[in-house]
Amino acid sequence: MNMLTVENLSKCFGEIEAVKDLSFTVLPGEVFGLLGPNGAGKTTTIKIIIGMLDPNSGNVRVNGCSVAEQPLEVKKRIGYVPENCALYENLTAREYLELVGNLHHLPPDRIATQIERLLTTLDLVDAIDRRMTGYSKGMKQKILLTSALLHNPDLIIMDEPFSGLDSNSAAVFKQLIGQLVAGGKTVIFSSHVLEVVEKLCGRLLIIHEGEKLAAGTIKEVLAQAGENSLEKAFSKLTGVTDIADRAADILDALE
Amino acid sequence: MPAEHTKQKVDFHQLKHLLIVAIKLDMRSGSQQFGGKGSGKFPPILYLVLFQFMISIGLALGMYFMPARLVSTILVVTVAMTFTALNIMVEFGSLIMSPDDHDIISPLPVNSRTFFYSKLINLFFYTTILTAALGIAPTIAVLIKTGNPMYALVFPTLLLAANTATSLAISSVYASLLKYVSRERVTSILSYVQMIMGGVVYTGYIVVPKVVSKSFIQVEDITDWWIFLLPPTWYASFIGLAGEIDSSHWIWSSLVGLAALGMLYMYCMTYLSIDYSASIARSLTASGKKEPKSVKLWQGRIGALGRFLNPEETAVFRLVWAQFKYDSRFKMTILAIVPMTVLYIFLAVVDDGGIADPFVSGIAEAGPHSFLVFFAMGIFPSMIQGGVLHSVSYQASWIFFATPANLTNVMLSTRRFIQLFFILPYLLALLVVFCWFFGNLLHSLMLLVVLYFLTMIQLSVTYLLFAGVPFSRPVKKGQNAASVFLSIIMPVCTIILPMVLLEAFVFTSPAAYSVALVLLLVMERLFSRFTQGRVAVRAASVRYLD
Repeated sequence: MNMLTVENLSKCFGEIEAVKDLSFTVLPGEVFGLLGPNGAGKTTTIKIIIGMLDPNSGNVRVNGCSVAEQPLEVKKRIGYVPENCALYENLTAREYLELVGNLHHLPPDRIATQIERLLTTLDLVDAIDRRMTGYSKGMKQKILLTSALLHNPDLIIMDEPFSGLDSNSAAVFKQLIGQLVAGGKTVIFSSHVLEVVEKLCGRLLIIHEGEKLAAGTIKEVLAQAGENSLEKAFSKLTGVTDIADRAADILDALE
Repeated sequence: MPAEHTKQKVDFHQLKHLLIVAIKLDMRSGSQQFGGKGSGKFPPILYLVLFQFMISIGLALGMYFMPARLVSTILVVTVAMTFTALNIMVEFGSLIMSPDDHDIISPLPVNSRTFFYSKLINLFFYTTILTAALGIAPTIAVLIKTGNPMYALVFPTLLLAANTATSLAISSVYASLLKYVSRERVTSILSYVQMIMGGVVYTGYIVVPKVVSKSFIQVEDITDWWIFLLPPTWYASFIGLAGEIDSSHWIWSSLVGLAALGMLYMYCMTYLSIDYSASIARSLTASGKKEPKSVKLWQGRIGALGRFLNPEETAVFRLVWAQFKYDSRFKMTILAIVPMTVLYIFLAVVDDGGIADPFVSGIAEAGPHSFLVFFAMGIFPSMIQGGVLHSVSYQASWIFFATPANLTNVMLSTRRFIQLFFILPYLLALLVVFCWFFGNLLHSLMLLVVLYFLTMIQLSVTYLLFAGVPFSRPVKKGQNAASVFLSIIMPVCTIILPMVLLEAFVFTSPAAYSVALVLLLVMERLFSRFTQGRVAVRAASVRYLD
């Protein structure tokens, strides 16, 4: 059974079609990359998968559960790391994570143990009782990751997880993704960083203006684009082939 | 509708933890309040409690001295319901449909009904604290007057019932509107409703005594059908439980109140709670809209002013106008000023005696409401400054910190804005009013000059207390109402009291006027210099809030 099945998904905001008839599947135990330029519809697609937004049409199933029919069951199986650092910043990290744990109905002792272990691993245990108003973006990102893993979900979805992280934290995140998958979890993440996608993802999907442009393993995507690197394939598929000219135009404008 | 939705039950474990967090957040929202440097200890809700308590003292006097218990109770309940409605409307973004809550909670396995209950109970917690602050003094007053211990139980109960009905009614309207209209549209509609409600609050204490006839004040039972139609009557009728009404009309009236409460509760809990989360999601993801023509128009006018403004002022002026169009909170703050100003001038003008020429007859000849025109002038600065510091998009203020903008100029720009776009136009309007009443241009101008200096001193005091980078601080629950509270207190000290003294001792003597004018000029300059110095010091330490 697929871990995630997306069928003919469409979503409109007023007259803007953010997602157009999108279909793809994600297998259990794989790292799946969602690629696309800004405004491609990646975040909208993710928000529909986790039940934050209703689609106009189409179906999403997580491990056989329909998001439309059983949203709570789906949310119990997903850990989500959002792109924007949506947190109650006037709480301490411990208070926030305890809230998340309690909303997942975890036993208090397990919540306490998990928080301690995860934050120690992420080098954040010293800040655990400080309000998050003073946290850096990287620290907030680590708290969000901890909250996504707290209930030991089957599927972890990360929206731009590497933005704002320093290189050491990013390395920990990359390592963690590998280990999660080795432990049987499924990870989906969206990113602009093609090197990371190339290194981590078994399969990927490139979308642009809400439409699927290419999908499959990296080799398959390169073959579909007729290019030999992911960067070139991405540029070609998204219609940006005059990169050098554009950079020159910007420099001209500065003069 | 999904099967899982229709069988939603409240998850009390989740509800308990959501409520604990909501209350913690309410009580921790004091930092960065007004001009503070970030160590504020008091949440804005406490300012509001203080404000409500001050009003409650006035209500207590009414309860004690008015002869008919029913009417005085109806008036107290009316005030309580109006303030509850106004507080919810002013703060509704954080009370009922907070985008932050949606972003954080909606990915978690919390059903819509539990989420809705948590918001509603948090709302009751908030409004019950305020109602308690409003009701405590009238309860004590009526206990002292009647010596009837039943009032200790009945009065808080009827206020709580009225407050609950109001909260449910407003929540029902909001949540119902959200089902069909975008959040932006709801906000826009409500900003106008709030403007009207603001007018009612600011002027009600003057208008009501004029409208309410002496015979109504004597009413001791629900004898007329129109009294029965007033929702506050339904809840005020509970005093029948204390044996204060002879006939049985109060029973029917109380039952109507309870029925209304029950119906609102059923409506909220059955129809609204099930797809509350989805309604918020829909409303938050409505598409953007085109830039309104009025912003372009005003930006054009600001452009024409450009040669008289420094670059920071030009930038801030444009920002303020854009915020007025797009930030509903700021829009509400500004719009609340309009009816208040118009009504205060109107009341002063139509009052018996109108506005007397202080250089001829002095204060004794003027109507009792003539001071309202001065009071309105004093409200502008602190009210606008209170609104101009906070924004839901406060993080966009990085631009002031990341560019070589002079932060002192940035912080003082709103002062110039208030002076140019609020104080000077209001003075011009007053010039017309004064000329009409005084029939003497020179006297009108002489009074205006005094008023101008007093208002500029008030503006400086406001900046000494509340200077900050425009729209750079996050919005906190209770904060709008808190700034209204301070806006009302300050002008009494900085405008009204000095005007009383000037009218009593200065205006009738040309020599005294001349000396007073020089003194005011010197004071205005000194305050202005001092304020600039203080703002410069604060600008050196102000930091971007991420």
